[in-house]
Amino acid sequence: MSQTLRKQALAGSVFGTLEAQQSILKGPNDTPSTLSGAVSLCYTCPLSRPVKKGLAKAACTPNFARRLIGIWCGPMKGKQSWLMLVNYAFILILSVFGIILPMTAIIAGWVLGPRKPDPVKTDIYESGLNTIGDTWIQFRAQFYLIGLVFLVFDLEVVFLFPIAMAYGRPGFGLAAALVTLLFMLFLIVGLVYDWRKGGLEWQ
Amino acid sequence: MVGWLETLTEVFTGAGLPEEIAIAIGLVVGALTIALMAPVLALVLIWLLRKVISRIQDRIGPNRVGPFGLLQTVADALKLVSKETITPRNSDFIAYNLAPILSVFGIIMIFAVLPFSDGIVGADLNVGVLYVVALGSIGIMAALMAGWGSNNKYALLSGFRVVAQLLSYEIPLVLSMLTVVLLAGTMRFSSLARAQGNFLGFGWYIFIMPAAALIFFVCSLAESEQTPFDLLEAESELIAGFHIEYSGMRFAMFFLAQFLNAFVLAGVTVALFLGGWQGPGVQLPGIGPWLGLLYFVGKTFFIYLLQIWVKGTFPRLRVDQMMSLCWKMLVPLTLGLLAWQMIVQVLPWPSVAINVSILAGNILVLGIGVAVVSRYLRLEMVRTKRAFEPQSLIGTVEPAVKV
Repeated sequence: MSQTLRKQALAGSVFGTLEAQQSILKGPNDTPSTLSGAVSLCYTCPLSRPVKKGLAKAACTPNFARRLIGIWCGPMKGKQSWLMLVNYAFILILSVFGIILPMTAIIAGWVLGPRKPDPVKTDIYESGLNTIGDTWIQFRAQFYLIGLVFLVFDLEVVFLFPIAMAYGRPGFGLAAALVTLLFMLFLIVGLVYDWRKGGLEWQ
Repeated sequence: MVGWLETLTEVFTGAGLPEEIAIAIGLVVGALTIALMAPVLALVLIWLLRKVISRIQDRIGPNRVGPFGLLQTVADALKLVSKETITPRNSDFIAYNLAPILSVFGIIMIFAVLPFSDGIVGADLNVGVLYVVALGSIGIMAALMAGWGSNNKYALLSGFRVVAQLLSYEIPLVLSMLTVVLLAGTMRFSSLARAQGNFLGFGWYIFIMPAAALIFFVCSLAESEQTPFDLLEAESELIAGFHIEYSGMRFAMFFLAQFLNAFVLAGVTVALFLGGWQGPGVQLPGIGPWLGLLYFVGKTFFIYLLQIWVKGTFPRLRVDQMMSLCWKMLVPLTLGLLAWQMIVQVLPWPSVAINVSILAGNILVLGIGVAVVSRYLRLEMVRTKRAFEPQSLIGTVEPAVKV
């Protein structure tokens, strides 16, 4: 038994099911294909078992690339959810371009510009004076106060967005509206308290 | 709904591609269009700013490179590419290098949900407004990372100031967005634009809630760090703010992000309050969507010109004034607006009565705002006059303006 075949057999035995074994070990013409060989070689790398199983299954299907995209848009041809999926696929693709664009510009600047650092040039610029001590010093507690008040309000907004969506729809009665107003009242009371305590004064 | 994508997919399937691959290529083409449009748009925005500001200041502005100086910004960008990117000593590598990338990333992502026209919306998310709010905070993070990573006390201080300002102004910004969501009952930008299509395309929300629109505009000025809220990069105090240690292309990225941010916030203002693509004639078949695109871009540039006008007119605010304006005026006023709207909308009235009541509440809030600001300005005038009087005269001379 040759080295490759032994590895394939090993892979097949670990992958478990008979179909999986066959699909890995046998190519289209019942011969060990190069693809299945590659997959079984991949088995030595530390991936989790279900991931490898899925990869092996997917790689042995005839139209791999098409199937990969089919995972994205194939199974959900029902109009609403399908559109939603396409929308988020667009966001994903745009986020890749959104990272690549500034990176390309910065790398282009780095490649095209001169690179001659010297101690004076890389020194920290603080109005021409030598910097004293560590940069990451203690700073005003006021920033924390603002941050805390912001946190409360941001949480409030997170809760208010769904309420605003549901507002006035059937099933959203007077009681729900009163509870929402009470919720807002608590926040206004909190703001007034913070104001009276002087948390909003910036000295 | 996703009109542009369907059109592109039809083109590609017509060329003989399977449907899934055609959709994928269509998505990539759309994303690439937005990503490449952003820098070109920034060149136009910077040129426009320089031209208009120079006219306000009685100058001519750039007029040497290209017709009307149009290529001046291109020349500047080329100059910035050829500059050395200096990394300050002991800077935090990851934070320092990631900050400019993130700041551009956060802005470009918002372009995905802007309703350019009926059927020309990158990704027409059902949580569009919330998406804009979420991505707005990436810019805050980038500013803090830049300030923290630069190993510079000025940058660090400015980074904290940026965070304090942007966090504070996010509250009234989001609350004024919430008033629109409350009235329309949707967060999808295309539905928001459709909801404003009454009266021949002039049923804009600014006519129903002018106070919320004004508050949103003021907050968008603060969020895009423009005058009068540009004390974050006050040249005389913090030299350049959190990006003091950045040079070359990395500096250019912050610049790009700032201008695109101004434009994107103008676009969100248009989408929320100025009817998005709505205008006369957008219902026509064929030419309608293109007319809508023209309206949207035109309105957005109008808001952008308004921002430039403010920039050329007003002096910078003091840090305590900036904070008081937000927490003691804009936040209570928007909370009041929101509460009033909630009370009105739960009543079993016809929609016209509801809209008129909301308008009345908004006018009241506008009146309160104007009264508070004018009273503050009068007090401040007396205070500054006193500060410049000779010490010996304080207390003996009556203030020039009676309060």
